Amino acid sequence: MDRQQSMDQRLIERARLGDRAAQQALWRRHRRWVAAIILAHRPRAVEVEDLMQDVAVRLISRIESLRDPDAFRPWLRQIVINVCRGAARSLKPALRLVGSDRDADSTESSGALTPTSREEPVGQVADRREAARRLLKLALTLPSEYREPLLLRCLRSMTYRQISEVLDLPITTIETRLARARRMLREEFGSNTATEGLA
Amino acid sequence: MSESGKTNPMDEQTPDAVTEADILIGRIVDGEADEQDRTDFERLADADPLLWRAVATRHQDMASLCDEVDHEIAMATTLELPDFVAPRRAPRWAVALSGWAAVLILAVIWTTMPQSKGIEGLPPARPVQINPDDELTFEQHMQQYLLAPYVMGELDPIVFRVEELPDGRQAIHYVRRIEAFEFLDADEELPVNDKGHLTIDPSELHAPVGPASIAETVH
Repeated sequence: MDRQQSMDQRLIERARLGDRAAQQALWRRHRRWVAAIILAHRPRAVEVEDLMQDVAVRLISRIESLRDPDAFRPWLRQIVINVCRGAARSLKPALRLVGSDRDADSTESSGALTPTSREEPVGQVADRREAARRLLKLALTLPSEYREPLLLRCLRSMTYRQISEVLDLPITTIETRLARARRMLREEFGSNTATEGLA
Repeated sequence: MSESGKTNPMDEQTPDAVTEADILIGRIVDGEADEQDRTDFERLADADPLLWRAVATRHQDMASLCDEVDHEIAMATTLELPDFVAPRRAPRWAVALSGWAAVLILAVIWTTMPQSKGIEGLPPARPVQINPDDELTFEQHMQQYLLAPYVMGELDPIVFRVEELPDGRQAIHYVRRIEAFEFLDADEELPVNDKGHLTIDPSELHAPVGPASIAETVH
């Protein structure tokens, strides 16, 4: 067990007993990757911060029920997934009523890659920030088994091992999914820019 | 297929199978490659120099993507846990108590000052018998907070404003300062600006090594 895990275990034990400081410390240590998972799974019409609030509430109210401290990361990830699913379910009826552009983009990804907006002026892709936005947009359309490790990897401090702990998967699987995700992203980004005559 | 156009036997089994080059490039981009990985990659790149370009491209893709992810979650990652202990009846003066540098701004009535003398110096860090469902008093809250292994104690409060009240009393506004610590690895740069302020969220620093023993050593 490394020191991070050791610290986590102590915090989890105390958090389960209702220690507010331990809960806060635990939250701070894990909230970045929680935000990344939310980003990977949220309905597009819901802000990451709003879902973070829900996850925080559930973390406090349910930490007592966590029996195995070693399973904390997968346990917390499942909370995140459930919160995102709940948000998607509660959003669907409203979408039909509102029908705004933003809401139309608000459901879980179907796995199909989203074509570039037709309104987007040709040439702006050269802008680095715009390219980054489009990369993220494309990343969010990858199948969830690929986009999740990809976004977690974007938290530069997360190693393959830590990602494997969160996703409860072998490291080799994480590596393979990351490699596929990157290749899909590059191919799709390349084909989009080529379509616009900018490659 | 990779940018290099190189195929791998695995590709014949499943259309989206990754190549050895894909895996090695991933490790290099993610900083997880060891010496053997680099050697293996160079061997592959000798036969297919376009792999170097693939490394550069994916490096750039990840850098851009990571910047954007950072931007998207920036606000969310500052979110603190809500205080469920005293959700509705929390006294107004209990504005905030969070993290290593928790600063609690209090407005206390001058006539009640004798009651607050106990806050000077290090409060005793002993367990408090509290039902998590009960509302905490400020002192109970502080004692709970001080139980955390990374909190050393409290520095002397600083009075920053004295307010005359209509009834002749004075309201003393002061800041309570929590002393906490985190550990940095030997090879890490101290993230402090020229004013001595931390430039990153302390929670992003490395965790204490061997929490209990180190904490006790520092005490």
